[in-house]
Amino acid sequence: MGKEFWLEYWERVKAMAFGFDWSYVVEIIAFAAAFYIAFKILKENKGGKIIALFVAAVIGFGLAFSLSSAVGSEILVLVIFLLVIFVPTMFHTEIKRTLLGSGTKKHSKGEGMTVRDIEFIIDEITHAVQHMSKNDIGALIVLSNGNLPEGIISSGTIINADINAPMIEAVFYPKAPLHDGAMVIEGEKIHAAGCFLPLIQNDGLPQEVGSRHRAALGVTNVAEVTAIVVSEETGVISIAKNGEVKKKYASDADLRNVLSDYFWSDLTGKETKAK
Amino acid sequence: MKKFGKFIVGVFTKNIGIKILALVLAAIAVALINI
Repeated sequence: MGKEFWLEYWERVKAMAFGFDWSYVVEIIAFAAAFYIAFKILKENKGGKIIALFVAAVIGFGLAFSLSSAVGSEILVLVIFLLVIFVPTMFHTEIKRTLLGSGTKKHSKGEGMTVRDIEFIIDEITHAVQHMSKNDIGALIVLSNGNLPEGIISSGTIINADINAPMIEAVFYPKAPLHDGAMVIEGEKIHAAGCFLPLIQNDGLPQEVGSRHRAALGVTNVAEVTAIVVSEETGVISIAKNGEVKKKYASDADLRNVLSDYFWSDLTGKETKAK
Repeated sequence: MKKFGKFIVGVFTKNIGIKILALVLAAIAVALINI
């Protein structure tokens, strides 16, 4: 690359900069829209660091191709296109979760409940979970907005019972027929129990992570729900959301926070909806 | 009308950081393609 090359390159840069064309505007809008969608998916799914890599790749390839006279600009367009395609491929489960969440109408079952009803339900769930934890009884409770894939509910038994501690403990009692699956809570009702959930397929998980925890991670990966798990071996309470364990050793306060979030914002969509 | 106004404001102000980044990167990409 001699001096002439750089002079010629500079001339091309000047020609491009001063030779305004409306097609540039259209191209910029199209590229910006594609980049924005890719960045949004990455940002919402903890892929913030990949955004930096993405930017570096576009600029790096762009500079390399524009400096090389052997490769046409069509190849650069193709590389950018492939990069934009690569993001949805990498985050396909997260995109599925977002699409399932946005396509499902939230039931807003919390609307008919009073503050006292909600406090009672939070107390009952917390009490049941703490009691099962002390007695090493395994449990998996999914807090849903009616946005679980239909196959999950139909794999279990519809209960539609009021929420109270004895009922929750009765379902998870080790010799009870429904104890082995997940309990799905929707608003003020125990909607179903004994439900089979998709297990997360993640080789990075430690060996000691049991199937109950894998199921909690699996269901929170495919749907916007929160899962509460009580380990049968250790009695430890864990909370999973968005396909990851939010609290490995959840305390009473953590449990109440999660339930409050569910009843006051996730379920109603507003901070203080209940009367 | 008020809701529509809020929607329009939301379209421009939500995720403003990544919108600007996407626009700048798009401008760079288009420039590099057309050089």
